[in-house]
Amino acid sequence: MCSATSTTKSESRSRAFATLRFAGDALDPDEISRVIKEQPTRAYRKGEKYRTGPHGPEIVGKTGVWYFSTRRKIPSRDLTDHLDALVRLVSPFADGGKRLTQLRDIMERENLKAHVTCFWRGPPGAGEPSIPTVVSEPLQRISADIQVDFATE
Amino acid sequence: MARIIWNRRENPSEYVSDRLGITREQLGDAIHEIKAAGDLSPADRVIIYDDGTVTDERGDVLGNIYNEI
Repeated sequence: MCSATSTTKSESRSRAFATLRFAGDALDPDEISRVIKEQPTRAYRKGEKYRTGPHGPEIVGKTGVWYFSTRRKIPSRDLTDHLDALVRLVSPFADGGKRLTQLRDIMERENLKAHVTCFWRGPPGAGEPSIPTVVSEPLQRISADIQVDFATE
Repeated sequence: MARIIWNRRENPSEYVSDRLGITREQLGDAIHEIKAAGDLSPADRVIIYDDGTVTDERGDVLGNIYNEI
């Protein structure tokens, strides 16, 4: 199970966020946004030119990506809160699994992959968080792999 | 012309954040976001330049750290 949700001394000095992305050459970002009912942090089609901000050159999308980050959306330092936000995107309350089915259909039709990344930094000696099954189970239903980036500093 | 200040698989050191004039926390957050938005995993190697540019190991630009702060 995941770390406790109460704020411990080490948690008060930690940082966390999580990201969800769908990727594939045939990805249509607008289609994903329509199903998820949320605007992505960044999205682009394969071959589309885009900028990430005022610094740096134009980038050409090597594949299509729909990307959502909780970093500026969820103020919590508890990784579970960030992962819960991602789960609500793909499987909202009282939805009966409809959105998961829609996403699976799109992913199968367009050969898309889903990825979740977990970022956590804690103070020296702090225990790393774990991924609760209530989070991992719905993400597995869209075959999302969960990648972690945990470190103490 | 921008110079390479990091070209390894692991998380960048304090030297990199010092060179960019940002905190280690800002650097760690930015690198994770840039990799994920660029469809890379956290373990993938990136190259960081002293103007904040981040590329993958083939040299294709993924983003700029200053855009993520």
